[in-house]
Amino acid sequence: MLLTALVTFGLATVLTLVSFDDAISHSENSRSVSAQVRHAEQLLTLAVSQERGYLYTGQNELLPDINETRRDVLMALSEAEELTTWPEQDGRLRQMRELATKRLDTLEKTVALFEAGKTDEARVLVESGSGNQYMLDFHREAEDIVLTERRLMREANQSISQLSGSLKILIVLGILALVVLSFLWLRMVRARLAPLELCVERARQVANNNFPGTDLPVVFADDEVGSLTGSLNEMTSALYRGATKVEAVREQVQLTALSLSDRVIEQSTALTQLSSGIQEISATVQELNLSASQMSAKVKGLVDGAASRGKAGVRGLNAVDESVKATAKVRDQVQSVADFTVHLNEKAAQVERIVFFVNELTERSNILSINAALLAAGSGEESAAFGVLAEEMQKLTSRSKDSTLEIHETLQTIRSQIQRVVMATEETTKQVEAGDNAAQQAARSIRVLKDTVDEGNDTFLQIVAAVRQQNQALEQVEQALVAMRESAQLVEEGSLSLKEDAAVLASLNLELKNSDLLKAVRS
Amino acid sequence: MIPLLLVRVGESRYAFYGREIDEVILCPHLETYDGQSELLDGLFRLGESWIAVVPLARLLDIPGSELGHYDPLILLKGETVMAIRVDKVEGVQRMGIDELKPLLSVEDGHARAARLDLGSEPVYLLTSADLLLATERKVLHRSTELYAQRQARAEEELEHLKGETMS
Repeated sequence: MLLTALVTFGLATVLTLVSFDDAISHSENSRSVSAQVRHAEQLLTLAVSQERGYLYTGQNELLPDINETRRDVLMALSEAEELTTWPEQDGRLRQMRELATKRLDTLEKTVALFEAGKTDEARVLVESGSGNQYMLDFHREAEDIVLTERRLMREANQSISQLSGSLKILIVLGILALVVLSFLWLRMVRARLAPLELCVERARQVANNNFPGTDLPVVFADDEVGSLTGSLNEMTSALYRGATKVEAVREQVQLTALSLSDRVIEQSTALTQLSSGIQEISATVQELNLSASQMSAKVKGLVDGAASRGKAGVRGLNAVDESVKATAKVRDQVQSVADFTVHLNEKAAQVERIVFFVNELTERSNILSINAALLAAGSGEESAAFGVLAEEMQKLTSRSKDSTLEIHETLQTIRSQIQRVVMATEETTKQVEAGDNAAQQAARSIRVLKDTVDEGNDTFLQIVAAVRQQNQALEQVEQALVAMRESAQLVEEGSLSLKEDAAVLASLNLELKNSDLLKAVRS
Repeated sequence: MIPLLLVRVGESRYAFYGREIDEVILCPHLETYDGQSELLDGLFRLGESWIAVVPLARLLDIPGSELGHYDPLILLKGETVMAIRVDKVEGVQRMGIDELKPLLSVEDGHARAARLDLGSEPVYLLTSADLLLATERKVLHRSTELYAQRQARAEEELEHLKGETMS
């Protein structure tokens, strides 16, 4: 019911306000229409006056601007038409428009006649009164319109007065309703906010580190307050759990702080030992550096010596090469002698084969002679002939044998000489080959020696380079040691800082321990 | 004067009566066969006959040289199946009968009939008839016969095969 009353009150107020607004606008419109009509009337009247002045004085500055006047008059009348709400007014305004147009046309004709030099005709036209009639009608219409508008304005004003009264009543009624509603709303809000008070009380308790446990307000409302209460309960529980966790973490932090402190002590001890070690290494590096420099100087001397030995090796190698070439020539000559000897041997063998054949002939001849001698041993003339034959053959055989023997002995001698030559040649060849092998061996040895010297030289140079690198490395090691020492110092400083941080942690832990929140958790 | 053929076998010198010798030839290529007698060096064909070659060193049981090409062979008269191989034939020497010193007792073999003083070393005159024992002679004969028969059979067969090839 209250709502219906409110709605009705609202509608009435709205209608009243709308009517009030309409009345005001009507009044304003009427006023504006009147003003516009009057303005058009004034403009037209002025134009007519200016026409008469121009006609009778001829002064150009009195010449009315017909076009501008026409535009302004018609504009004013159009404005009035737009503003007016009465259809009758529209008709009158149209009439006025026509009259104004006709009058202005007349003015225009008059001016044109005067400018054309037809002054008399112009005056006649002016004096004819057609224009005046238009003006009179115009004035009359204007008067009617103004009067009508005034009447309308009066009626609107009356409406305004009436509506104003109604509005005042409505305002009063509204104020009363507002008061009543406010009172009722307040009561309702108060009833709805009671759980919130409980929540506030609960929040205050939590703020005082008083966790109620299960004693939480329960609101069965399914609105924002109920949601708020439920959320508050959840928050309280979560806060309690969080505080419990914080206590656990605090204990852990305490243990960690103690452990950290122990580690810092250990680290500090280790750093001290490291620093001592670094100092020892540094001293050792300096000694190494010194010995490397000495070694480098010695190796340099060795390199110079090796270079000179290398040159001697090259000269020896050249000499050996010459010797090898000469030996090769001797070997070639020996080989040609050996070839000749072989050929000689072959010829000796050929002679020996011939001797062997002759020997065979001799042997056969001997046999023949023996047979002849045997036949000769018989009796008769034939025996004597055979005897002679045997004897002659025996002689021939004997001489042949002797010659064969001599040839054989000579061949043997030649063969033995050849053999001796061959043996001597082989011996010479062997010696030459031995000499060649020796020379080549010497050359190889010299080459090996030279290569070894060169390798040694390279090795020495590598050693020198390695020693230099070692020196540089030692310098870098020393620099690294310095950096390590500085780092150790920084670490030590860091350890001190850690120690301080551990102390801070311990103090923070103590603060946490003594905090009311965690005391409440522990209790 | 008695013609004697002087020969050498190893380091010993011997002599044969010249009249006992048919011919002296040089040893040709000898044929041998499995199972032949140890007396023989081999056999060779002389005309239509096969002759066994017997080294004198084996007959006299003295060390001699191995068979060599063109070793002298002594063909004795009356001996149709044997030729005696010696190392060397030194020649025919005529000697008076007074120079022969007969051996009355058997010394180193029964074929030595007398000793001759020729040069620095003694020379023994041999009797060819006593060179072989009767049994040895039979063996030679039989060996030669067997070989000849075998050779004849082979030649016949070869001729027969040649005939078949031609046909």
